[in-house]
Amino acid sequence: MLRKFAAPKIFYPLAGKLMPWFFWTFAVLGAVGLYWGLMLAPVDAVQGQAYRIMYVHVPSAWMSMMIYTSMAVSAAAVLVWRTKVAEYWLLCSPGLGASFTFITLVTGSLWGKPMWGTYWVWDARLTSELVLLFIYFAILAMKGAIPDRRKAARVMAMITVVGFVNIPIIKFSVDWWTTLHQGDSIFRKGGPSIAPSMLVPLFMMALSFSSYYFWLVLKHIRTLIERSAA
Amino acid sequence: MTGFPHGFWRMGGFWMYVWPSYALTIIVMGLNILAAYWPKNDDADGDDA
Amino acid sequence: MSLLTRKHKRRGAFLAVILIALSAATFLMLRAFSENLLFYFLPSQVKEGKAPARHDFRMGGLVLQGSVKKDGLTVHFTVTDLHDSVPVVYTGILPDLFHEGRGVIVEGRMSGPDLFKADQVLAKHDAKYQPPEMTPEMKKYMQAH
Repeated sequence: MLRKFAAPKIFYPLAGKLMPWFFWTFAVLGAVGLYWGLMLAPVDAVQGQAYRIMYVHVPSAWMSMMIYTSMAVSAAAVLVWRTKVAEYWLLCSPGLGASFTFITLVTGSLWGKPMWGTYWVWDARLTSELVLLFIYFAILAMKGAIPDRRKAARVMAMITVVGFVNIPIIKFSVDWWTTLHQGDSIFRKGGPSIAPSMLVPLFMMALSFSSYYFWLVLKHIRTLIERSAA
Repeated sequence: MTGFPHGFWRMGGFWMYVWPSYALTIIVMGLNILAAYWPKNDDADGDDA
Repeated sequence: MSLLTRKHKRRGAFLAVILIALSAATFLMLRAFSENLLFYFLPSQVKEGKAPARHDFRMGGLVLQGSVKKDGLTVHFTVTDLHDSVPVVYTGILPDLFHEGRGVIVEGRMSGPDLFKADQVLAKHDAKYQPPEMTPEMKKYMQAH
């Protein structure tokens, strides 16, 4: 079963069928989420308008970790089974992952200036997210340095597996150590500490960003399959 | 444009940090769309032989 | 075609061993450096003498209610962790989120046994997001969480 879907011949048309669904989910939820987050959601009692940065910051941060996790799963498949589609997934993901990590760092910094009073501090959360950006860069560098795609994927898989230890560190850094970065507002005991009227657009943006990732990764994989067939 | 809620067109103060965040996000995500739909040709070498 | 032939099992086991070894190494390293990973000390830790005495450090807690006294650009306030408190003096501009009863992190050093001289004041956000005026349902929701 699993192997069947992992064959490029099966995967190619399947990806083609899924892409429009992901595109429209991204476009519609993104448009509604943007309007809701910027225009309809109320002002925050403490932070004023600046809290609206969270509608791009938080989904990007989730994406930076989710993309890496999907890469780690692909990496295991690459190392154990040499699955071709997993190789493609690994080749096509780190660019998007690095992009979302970059967005997370810059938007967080723009929020930090008016809220904390500083653009940057070396606390555990901020530092581990920066480390994630460097890990993505290392994986991308391997893709650029090794011309043979299958060999490149295998080396990228090894770095991905080693770098995966950073993901739980990012996630739990705010619980394990004292940080300037606040704790989790959503996945916490007793439910989210965000008013429902502010939470709905956040989930919309998160779903929109995930669909965007799946849309583009499928598009990119299809390009690779086309080229290896040509 | 005073009719818009929350002083959307006001650039000063806290609001100043919001629009650059959205602009950056949209630019980076847009660049990734361009890269996926109009990929560079050098991506083609090193085929899986 | 089986998913787990002997070859795959061997590779999988190898991967598992590497993952476990890596996690263990990381865990031990983080434990060893745990002290350095703390971004700030609590007032009670400072009182116990756990904060560095010779160089600058950060102290974090809540701004004690009713403790803020402004004198021009110089401001006096007390940082508390509800167990111990340390008075702080700071000259400069405060971040907008600085407020009595809210989280704060001060960077500087002890000057004397009971006064922290801060060079920088950072506001800590409490991870709560809510509109200024909430409907009764929303208040109930926020209180429940």
